[in-house]
Amino acid sequence: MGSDPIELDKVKGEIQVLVARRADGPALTSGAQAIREQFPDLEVSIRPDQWLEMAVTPDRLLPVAQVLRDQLGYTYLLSLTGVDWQEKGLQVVYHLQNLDKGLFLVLTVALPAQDPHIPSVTHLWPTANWQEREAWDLVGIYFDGHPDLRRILMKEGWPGHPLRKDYRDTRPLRERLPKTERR
Amino acid sequence: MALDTHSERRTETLEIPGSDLPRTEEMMVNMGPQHPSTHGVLRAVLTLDGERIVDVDSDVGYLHRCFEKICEQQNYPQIIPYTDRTDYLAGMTNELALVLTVEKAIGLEVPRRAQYIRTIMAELQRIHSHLIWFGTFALDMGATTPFLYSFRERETISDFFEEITGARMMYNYMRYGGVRNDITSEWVKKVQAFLKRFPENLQEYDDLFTGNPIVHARTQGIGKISAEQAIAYGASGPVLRATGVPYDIRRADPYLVYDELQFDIATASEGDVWARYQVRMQEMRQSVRMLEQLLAGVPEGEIMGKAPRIIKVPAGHYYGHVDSPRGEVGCYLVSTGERTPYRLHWRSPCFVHLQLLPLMAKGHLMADMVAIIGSIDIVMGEVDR
Repeated sequence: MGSDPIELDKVKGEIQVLVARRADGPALTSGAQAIREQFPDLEVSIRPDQWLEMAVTPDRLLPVAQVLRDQLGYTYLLSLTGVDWQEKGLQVVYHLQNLDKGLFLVLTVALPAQDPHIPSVTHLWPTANWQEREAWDLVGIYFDGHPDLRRILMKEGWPGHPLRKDYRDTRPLRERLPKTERR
Repeated sequence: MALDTHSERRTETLEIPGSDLPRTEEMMVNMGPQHPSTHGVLRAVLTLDGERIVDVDSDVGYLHRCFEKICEQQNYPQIIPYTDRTDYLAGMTNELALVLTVEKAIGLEVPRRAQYIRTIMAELQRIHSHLIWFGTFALDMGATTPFLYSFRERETISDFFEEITGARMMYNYMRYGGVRNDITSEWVKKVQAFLKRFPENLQEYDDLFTGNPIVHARTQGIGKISAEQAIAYGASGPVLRATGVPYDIRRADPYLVYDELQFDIATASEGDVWARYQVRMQEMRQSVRMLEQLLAGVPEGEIMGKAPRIIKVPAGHYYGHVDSPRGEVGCYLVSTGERTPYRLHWRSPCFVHLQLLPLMAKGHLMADMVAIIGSIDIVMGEVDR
């Protein structure tokens, strides 16, 4: 199928944006090539599951993300999350999609284990707002420039970040049990 | 102020400098977490100017169960039942997101019969979930009867699930490499009989609710978002399709046997509550269409592929997504080659959609908030995970 847009007769209702099918073969290669042309020094690979993958350093994230969104058409941020690699540091992973061409891109940013800071992409993809708050809350990554970096799933003042590998619940057992199970 | 100007004023935005609208002192009102129309434990802090909403701040996390942390301690088969409990109204599609991601990562073949059964279950689940949405949405708007009607059909589908999986809600049915139990020809006949009469039921809902002028007045032009906003805010599923973007993972990134099925992507262009309502009603009809094709051609054969006894995912990271009744359910899996995931992130559509709430609600009346929340079709279990 390649990157043909969906046939219009398959769609009911008025269409404002066309969405392409997942690109493969030559369309995928040219998608990778388009990124390489913009950033000759960055490595872009094609994964076996037909995703494009690239890694950037935190200081280059904003310029790269800006070009990806404005010039290469990655307008749709699927998911944003953090991973704790323990002594190897932390990682933020962005899953992006180009709706017109059916390209999927995973962008990874490695961060140091101590004091992990990364610029926020909320102004580029507003959907990052809560997802960055979640990554801050659970993994403990600071998103600089985020408009409202508060905890979102845990309550305010919760000690530590639960999805860190070294996280231990320090509360006494009695407090951890719900009231009905306390003796 | 005359009463008849009321309907004209309600769609105007609030911040108009020099406007002659009377303004009152702003007031904060808590909606939830124990509000019947928030579908769970959503707490929305509304800033009100009179009856009009100035700002919404959603507070989530009341149902947080550390799903992602728990998954790091469980081996792969043990995770399947947990995924049921993220979005408890669409367990089948949530299980699919996980098993498809793992199967793709380890390169597991799934027999065609199992793929057909999975697709049947996923589409039945879509109708099942949309029926709850229809009933509760109507209930939110003050119509009690549609709820009773939609739950009558939902019960039938629950019975179908129960007959095959043994459970009416938490199925634990998908397996790596296939499904747990086979379907029988009697079951297929029963589902076909149901599908035959279901369009009449849908017509009944339309007669009851869709054509009602009060419903139109309360949904048209309320909670409007544009296609650009929906894409920027990562909306998916019916919320995105209601703005005129035909983004459906079943077509854009096909999985299972959706590639072989004839169906239309239901879209609407207005992006308001009414558009989302229409999209979901259309989707049920499309699901019926798909199910008729699927049930007519279920191939014979195995229901389980050659899955290893111990599932170990090769080191690396994988992202899989499916189109759940609510939108894109994404499963991001990081593995180091062990029997447990190193990290599992669950991208839930409702969590993302809730960010649109201030955008949708600003300038509308507080009573519209109920319709707007209902139109996003949130499940708090999925938001908080």
